[in-house]
Amino acid sequence: MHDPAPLSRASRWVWAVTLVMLVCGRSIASAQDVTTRAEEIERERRQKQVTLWPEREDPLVARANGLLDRGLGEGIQSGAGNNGWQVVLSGTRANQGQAFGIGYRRSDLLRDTLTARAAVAGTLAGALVVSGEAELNRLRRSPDTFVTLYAKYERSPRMEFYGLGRDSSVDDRTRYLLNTLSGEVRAGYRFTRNLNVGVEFLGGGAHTGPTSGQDVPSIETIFDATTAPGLFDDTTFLGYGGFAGYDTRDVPRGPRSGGFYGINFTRYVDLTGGRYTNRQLELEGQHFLPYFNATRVVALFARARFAYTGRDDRVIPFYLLPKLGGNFDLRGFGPYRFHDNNAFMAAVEHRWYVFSGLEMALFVDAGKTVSDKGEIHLSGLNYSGGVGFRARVNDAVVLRFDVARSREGLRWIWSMSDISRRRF
Amino acid sequence: MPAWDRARAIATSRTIRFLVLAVLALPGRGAAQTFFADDPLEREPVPLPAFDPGVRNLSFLLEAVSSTFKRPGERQPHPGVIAAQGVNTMGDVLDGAWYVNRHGRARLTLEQLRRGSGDALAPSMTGPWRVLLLRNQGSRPAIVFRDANNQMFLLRFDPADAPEMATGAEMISSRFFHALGYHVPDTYLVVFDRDRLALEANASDVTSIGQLRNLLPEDIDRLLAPVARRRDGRYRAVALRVPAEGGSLVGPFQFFGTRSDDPNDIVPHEHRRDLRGLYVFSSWLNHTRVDPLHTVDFVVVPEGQPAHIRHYLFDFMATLGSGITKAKPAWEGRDPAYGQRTTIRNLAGLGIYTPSWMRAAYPDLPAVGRLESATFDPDTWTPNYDVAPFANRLPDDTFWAARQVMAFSDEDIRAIVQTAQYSDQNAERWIADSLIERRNRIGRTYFSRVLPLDGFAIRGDELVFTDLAVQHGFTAPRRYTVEWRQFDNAAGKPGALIRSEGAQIPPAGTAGSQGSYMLARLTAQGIDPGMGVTVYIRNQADGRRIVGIDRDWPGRTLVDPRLVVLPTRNRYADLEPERQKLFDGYAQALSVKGGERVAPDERFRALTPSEQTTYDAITHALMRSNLTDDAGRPLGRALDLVTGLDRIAGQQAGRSGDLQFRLYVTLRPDARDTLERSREFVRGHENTVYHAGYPSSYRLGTVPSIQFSLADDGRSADIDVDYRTSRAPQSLFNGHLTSSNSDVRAGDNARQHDRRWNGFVDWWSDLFKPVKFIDTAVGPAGPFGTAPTRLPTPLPPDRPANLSIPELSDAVQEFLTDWLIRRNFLEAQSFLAPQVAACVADSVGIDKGASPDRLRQATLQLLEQTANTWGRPRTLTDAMNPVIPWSPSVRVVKHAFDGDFAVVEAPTELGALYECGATPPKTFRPSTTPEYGVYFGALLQVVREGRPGGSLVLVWQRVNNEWRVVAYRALE
Repeated sequence: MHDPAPLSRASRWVWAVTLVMLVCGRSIASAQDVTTRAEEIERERRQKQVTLWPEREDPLVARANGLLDRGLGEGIQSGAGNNGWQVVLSGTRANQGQAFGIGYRRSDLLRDTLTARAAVAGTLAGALVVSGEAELNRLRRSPDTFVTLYAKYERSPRMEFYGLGRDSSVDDRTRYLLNTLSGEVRAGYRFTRNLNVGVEFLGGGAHTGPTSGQDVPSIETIFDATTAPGLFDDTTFLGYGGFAGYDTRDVPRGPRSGGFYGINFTRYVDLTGGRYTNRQLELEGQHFLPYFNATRVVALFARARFAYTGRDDRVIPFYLLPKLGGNFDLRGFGPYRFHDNNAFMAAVEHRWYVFSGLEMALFVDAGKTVSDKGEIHLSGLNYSGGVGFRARVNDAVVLRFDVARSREGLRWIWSMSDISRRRF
Repeated sequence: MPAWDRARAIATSRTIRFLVLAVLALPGRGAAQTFFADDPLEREPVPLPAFDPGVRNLSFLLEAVSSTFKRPGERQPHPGVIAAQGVNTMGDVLDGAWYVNRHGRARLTLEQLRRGSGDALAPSMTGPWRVLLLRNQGSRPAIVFRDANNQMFLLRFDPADAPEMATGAEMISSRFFHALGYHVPDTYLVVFDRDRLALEANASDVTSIGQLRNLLPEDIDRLLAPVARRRDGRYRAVALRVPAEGGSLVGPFQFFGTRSDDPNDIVPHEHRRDLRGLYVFSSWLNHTRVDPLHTVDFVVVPEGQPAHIRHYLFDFMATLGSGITKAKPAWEGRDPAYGQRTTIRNLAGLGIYTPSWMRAAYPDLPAVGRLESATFDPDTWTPNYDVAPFANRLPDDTFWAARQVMAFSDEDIRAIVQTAQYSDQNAERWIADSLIERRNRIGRTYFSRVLPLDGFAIRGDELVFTDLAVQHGFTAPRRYTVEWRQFDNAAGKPGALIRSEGAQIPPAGTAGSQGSYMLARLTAQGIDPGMGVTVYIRNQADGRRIVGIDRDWPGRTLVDPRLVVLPTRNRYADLEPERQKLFDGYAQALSVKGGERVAPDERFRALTPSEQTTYDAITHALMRSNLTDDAGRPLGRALDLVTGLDRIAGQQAGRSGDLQFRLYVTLRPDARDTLERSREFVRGHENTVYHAGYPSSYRLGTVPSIQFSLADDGRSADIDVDYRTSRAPQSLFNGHLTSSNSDVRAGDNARQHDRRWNGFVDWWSDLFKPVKFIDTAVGPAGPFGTAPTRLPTPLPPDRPANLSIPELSDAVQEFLTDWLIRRNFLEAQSFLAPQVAACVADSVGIDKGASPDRLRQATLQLLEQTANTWGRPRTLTDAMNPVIPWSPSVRVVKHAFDGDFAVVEAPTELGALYECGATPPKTFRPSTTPEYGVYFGALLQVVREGRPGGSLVLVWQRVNNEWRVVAYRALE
């Protein structure tokens, strides 16, 4: 018999079971004496009873459940990530390389009315983004009103510029450094679940500079302040504008039905002399046509952006000009391939189901940039097309891999964002 | 199948059938007698009391990963199949804690069908509903409240876009599953005003970060804002009553294995007929999300019975066409969440391949979601994730289930669908029509897999029955052939042919003495002769009674592991007296506890094969391991340290390697002292990750070795034999920490055992030739054993060598990336402190006093060789899993890469033991006031080509203000 030394939990448990059995147990027939099926079952149970052992919970269970408790599922769907610490894999401007960083998010502040997030991310190419965001989802006296404060510092050493216009040459590819510090306040009202309208106020500064990259020449080797307006001329600006959006998409990341139609107007006021004061108008439409029970989707995209100076003595800084090319529009062309006062594009994707976590897509993009609005017509468009894969988790596209081809060659695109991401 | 093959299969089947029938009815280990006097049993005996079963949670994420990539639980062997268990000799499931025969046995009235599991305890509408807990996060907003009668309920809602969809599905399916025989919570459809909900004092709200805070009235308003609301402004919801029959919740049940703390849970779940048949019911009701998280175990105390665990199915909001927050995606029920075959098919199909389900027509009725019947195929329907009993289903399982389904008339189905109280009659009609057609397809499909004869009875001298396929119009009337034989129940063998025509019971049968048996084998003309039904009849004082039914189908070859593997000679008889004595004490204790009189040799014979071999191998090694002190004086044998055997843990499917193939024992009071004094046993490092509850490790020399893991009391221990080295880096890849490391039957473990401890006989090898034992790292390799499926952590920036890295986790990530991903071994080496050379020398077998150049070269070689063996992972996520220690003395440090590896802070006294060359002191007593801040560890489990291997700890310290690896060890 055991001495009264302390026993492990398992032993205590087993002996407790024994004690209970000694007190409560009743004799049953031995194996040889079994004469009924019921006795046989009871014998089997008795045999198990004397070898009972406590269940053990996998230590990972609490951790995995904790992730879900912290909103991992919803965070994946919205793209905002889970509450608490996050690994950040995006956020820098296009062409800066894969971003890595960390963020911290809380959505439970002020009884879930305030969501705050701070993140810092960088790339091996030296890009850096530090951002902070606070979103008041509803006001006490007006639950359909929302206010968002957003501040960001970005260092982007691999911005690219090929010159103005749709005829710019791929041989004129150059790079420049763009540093921006900006703040933004957006306030809006949700008229219905799908329609919101609001105003925005913003301010900040921009700095452009040369780069030391060896593979692509720095911008000043080909362009100057005439061909790249605002080159190396730091600016400080304020801005204001308004926006309206009608969103009926079923999910925000990788929708299969519904659509988004929006307009955004912003006036930038140059505080350093007024030379770069300009206005910009963005229009965007997305529509998703599911068929075969949403195992197939035809996705239609159209975007246009127009920039105006209003006066002949003003120019639009080249880095604020509408652009085409990259991971989201004219995907067969390099990032920032086309710059000009006006840009418009359209895309069609045909997506099909592979399994719950993967879709494939065939796509065609078309678009161009022009200096005058009179040139906005369908001739002289740039085209690209390709095939892609979209990985889904919790019904949201979390990873996109596209192979796109244009007259300038083949591009491989790896992105954490779906093409349907909203710009405003 | 060639004719001769089929003939052989049928012959084999017939031979085995009689043996299997003996064990078909729950336990029974190979008794020759086939039928007992109380056969066929209809309900399980009164359950034994469940003593304090622990609450065990499961994780949806982990279960999804596990069922997709690991397929836990025992599967049907090849060749042969394992018949369903938990049934009586008629093939019916016994009434009990899992299942109660209801509509399939005795038709319920329409009122009973509508009522479901009960309507007597609906939420009281006379007073306020006092909200106790509210959860507004995720896709499942829910409220827990208490009504005026103090009954507790869980309230759940419809999404605004699909009013009545999820609540309707819950109402309908809960009633169907109840009528089908499962335990389900009472579910009520309620309509209420906002004013009905009031706050209970200290009510809680679950925040979006999973914490609790005081609940405010506006939190309720916020939860109700997005849910569906009726035109009259009231809310419609389902209220699930929390069973409160004096019991408590103990978490979900798994679809494989048994609960180790439930004495009544004796049938592996993957072989339960009620769970195999659940496949058919789930396909009927489109319960695509059937998984452990949709089950729950309650401890209940029904009147006249002791407290015991009852197993429930619950949460049917995602059944029928409902996806809870929106219509169910079309792929659910047609494709698994991930399936290799379907993925390849759809990839290759390039969007042109469109199976019929993609083109199925669904009604434009939000309350219906996606439910239809035109493209429903019962055989190809699939749940989202693999479910072991579903995969094990056999034609007689699906026949049993189809028979239950076909028991529902059109009127029954429409009555149950009415309980959803759809405001649109079209929705009600569509769902009822769909279920009727799906029912018919189920019957047509599964009644063709066996000869679907049912309703056997003896009327006068005639055996009568119903052909369900004919009855339901699935086939034209057909002729049957009946072959009569005597049946020797004591021997379990059929006797001579006594008459071979007609259903008239032959005179020899009618004149049989009381207690004699006969059998009738029925086949039908026009179908495969291998498809038959055997009916067993007993002559008894009050007449003849049908006591058994067995169904055949072509190719059926039953395998019952309990029959096949039982040795003809009891190994107990060959054990030495000391080993017998140890087992005798265990057997005696079991007899005392169980109130039985079972001889030790019989007790041993009753052990499973893996329990027998585990006991044999470990005690054999213990008996042949002599201990001596430093002066060479004998300290006895290792077996002498063991005074009592508490438990034999054999093979347990689905459990981690450190819980299988070991003995849990009680040691002599001076056992720890003896182990510490012995030269042969070496104090190992503290068990902080594996062997939970047994921190002190003592290992006998090199492999194969005995490992004693002692609890803090020094008296309880688990003992196993390790056949694979635990030395890094070999142990990372050789299967150490998998169950095959300690299973003497695996690979050449038996031969290794015999070489190390002479005289060991692999007595099971002849007996078990057809049985393949685990030889590779299958199953979970420790508590964390799964291939990684998480998103890959990005590679860190390639920092220059010797760049100062302030954060430990960054340094760990950089080191591992340099080593395994970038394969820049020189940069990786720069993270190693000089003292690591001693570990390297130990790993590669060179002198620790070798020249620094030689040690540096060896270190580089070791890094490269290990990286080569590890494979070519692209990211750390591909290469490793984090390992979380159980020991409370080790603090887990949160960091950004904890999806790849864990970082811990260890007490200084413990960390020092892990230094290279450090030998843990024979007497280690953890400090009651441990100091931290000096030693840190990075813990990871190797994953090679998607398969988990051993676990590694890298010990880190600040050396000259830089993070450096000062030691490494394989975790044991």
